[in-house]
Amino acid sequence: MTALMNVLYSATFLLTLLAVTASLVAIARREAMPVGRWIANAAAIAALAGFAARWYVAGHPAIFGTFENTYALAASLLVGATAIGIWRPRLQDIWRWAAPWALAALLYGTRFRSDPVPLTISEQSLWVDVHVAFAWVAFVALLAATTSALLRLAGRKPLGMDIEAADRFITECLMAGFSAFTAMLATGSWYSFIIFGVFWQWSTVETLSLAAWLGYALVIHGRLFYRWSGSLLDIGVVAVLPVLVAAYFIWSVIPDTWHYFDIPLMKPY
Amino acid sequence: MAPNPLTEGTRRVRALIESRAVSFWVLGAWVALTLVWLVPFQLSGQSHETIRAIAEDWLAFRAVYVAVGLTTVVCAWTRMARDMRRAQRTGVAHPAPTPDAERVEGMDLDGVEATLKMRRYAVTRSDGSLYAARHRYSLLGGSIFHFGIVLLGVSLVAHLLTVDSTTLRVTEGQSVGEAAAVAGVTVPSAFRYFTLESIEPQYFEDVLLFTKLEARLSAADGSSRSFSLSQPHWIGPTTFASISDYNLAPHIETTGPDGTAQEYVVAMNLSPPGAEDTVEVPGVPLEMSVIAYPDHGVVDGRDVSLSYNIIEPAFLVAVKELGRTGLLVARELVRVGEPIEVGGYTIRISGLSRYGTFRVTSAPALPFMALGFLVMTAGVLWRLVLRKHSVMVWADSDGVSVDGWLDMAGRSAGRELGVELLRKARKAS
Repeated sequence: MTALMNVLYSATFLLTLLAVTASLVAIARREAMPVGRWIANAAAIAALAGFAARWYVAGHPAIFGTFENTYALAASLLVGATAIGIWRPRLQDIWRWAAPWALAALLYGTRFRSDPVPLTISEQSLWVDVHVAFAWVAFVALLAATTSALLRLAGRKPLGMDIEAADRFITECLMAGFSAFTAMLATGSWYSFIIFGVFWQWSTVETLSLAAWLGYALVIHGRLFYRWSGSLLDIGVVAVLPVLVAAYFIWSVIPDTWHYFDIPLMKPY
Repeated sequence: MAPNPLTEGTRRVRALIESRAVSFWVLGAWVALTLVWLVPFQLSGQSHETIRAIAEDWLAFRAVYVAVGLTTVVCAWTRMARDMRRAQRTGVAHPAPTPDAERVEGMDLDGVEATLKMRRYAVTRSDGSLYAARHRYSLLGGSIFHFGIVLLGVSLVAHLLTVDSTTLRVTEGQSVGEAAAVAGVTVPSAFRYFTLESIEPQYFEDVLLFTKLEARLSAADGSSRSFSLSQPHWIGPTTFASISDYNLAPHIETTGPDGTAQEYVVAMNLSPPGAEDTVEVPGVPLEMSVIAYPDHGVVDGRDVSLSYNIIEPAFLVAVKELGRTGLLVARELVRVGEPIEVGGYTIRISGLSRYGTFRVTSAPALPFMALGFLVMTAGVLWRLVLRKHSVMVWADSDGVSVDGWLDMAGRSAGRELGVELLRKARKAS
């Protein structure tokens, strides 16, 4: 099973790389688009199967440690893009947005320990799994909004959408992402209360998450109150991205938080 | 008559607090303050306590919290009243089709009205046109969400004022009540009558990866319960007990020159391996420093613990005289039961227990916080799932023109939805 897990991880990596290549080729040759879409779909299947295999081998969902988190992110992006493409055929080219982010995540993850290890006592809870599931739903939705905004700022029409349709898409992604982000904060706070007796501890991850949550709340209010549209909406969404990414990954650089999962496996002598 | 300046001033202040601009800029101030005055301190390595002090005690942050609370309450309240009035008002279609209205051929107003009513739209028919709306009260979801935030915020403050957390050490074989009496703390009676049967810590292989910490407690009625870090025991709806840590409690037996033997169980900080703790030997003018090797072995001639698990425990014991001399009189590696002879006294670690650090948390405001969160969730779902959709339809000789509005999605989405709905109905008929 471990061998299968490794094969599926490698397949995910290679297929994602191929999908990004196809996406770049498609800028000049449109006929590369359907090929790229099928490769991205295959990458999504490999990622999902690889995630399941790692879950089986490690005995827990693959969401602990930077390596597993980047794998979970890549799988969420690829599977999310495939699901959206099937659900809304007019958005079937959204794989072109997901694949580069997924590749970046996988590449970042290669810098960290990849051996599966059991969970430490504080990680053994369904609350943690639910918390992380909401986290990745939020991240994928907010990243979709950001990618759309970035493309518009670069002068492109995201998935051929006009201004109003793209505004609507960004708003829906923001709403879904913000709701999931709120649920993530709520479940995380609850679990913190269960194990530490306090809802909030002002660790780096918590402070940055609060900043990101407030940032998106501000953009949503701008959209609903003042009908922010076009570049103003795009700038608002993109401005929060660094805080969002920092909130999700700062713990792999600054381990001053309870969200630190790359525990060094120290021997007692 | 000139307007009363006081009334006019009050009206202006009220209008300002109610305005969306103020609530927007207050939120913006919170974002800016967090990014400028909190995140940099956090990233520069300040302790959590310093960050907490800045975020919770600084005047600027407190002013922002008050302003956010005030504008949220006022804004949600006025908006709720306004949205309620808007929902109750009967809409009418514009006098003539809008420029973007889309054509649906082969339908008349009667057919449109029947279709929309079947889909639970409230229809207002005028001469040659109709206005229909579904989920008219959807906008109230936004206000409900914000009331949920307010309830959550208020109950959070109440929680911080009323939460009570007590920690106590309970040794294997000891009752919670006994441990509480020794520590001088009060614990709920529902927890007091438990006795700690065992604590099972476990580490992964030979590395510092704590994979199990389970405490087994027996109740007065003979039943037993398991506690773990992530699965506390709920004593009541707002009170729970959990285990947060464990350590070792050696049984120290002393035998005096006259043959009198005494045994004490002493809770010490001996975990992880290498940690040293000192205790005055009860009834003997000596103190002993102990280092525990839970899985003793010898590597390169050195005494070490091969893992963190308690497999072959051994102790490096240094015995010193009490008082000013502090003279080291013995230093030996012993296993359970092995004696150390010092000046006519015999000291031995006759057994090894574990003790758990238990936390009893009582949070009376918990139900209100849960209610606040439920109200927030209900508000979001109400607004997002049951979106208000309004449709305007104008009839002419060979069909109808349709325009619409879908909450949070806009005019074209509302129009598309209306047209799709009518085309489906036409196809079905």
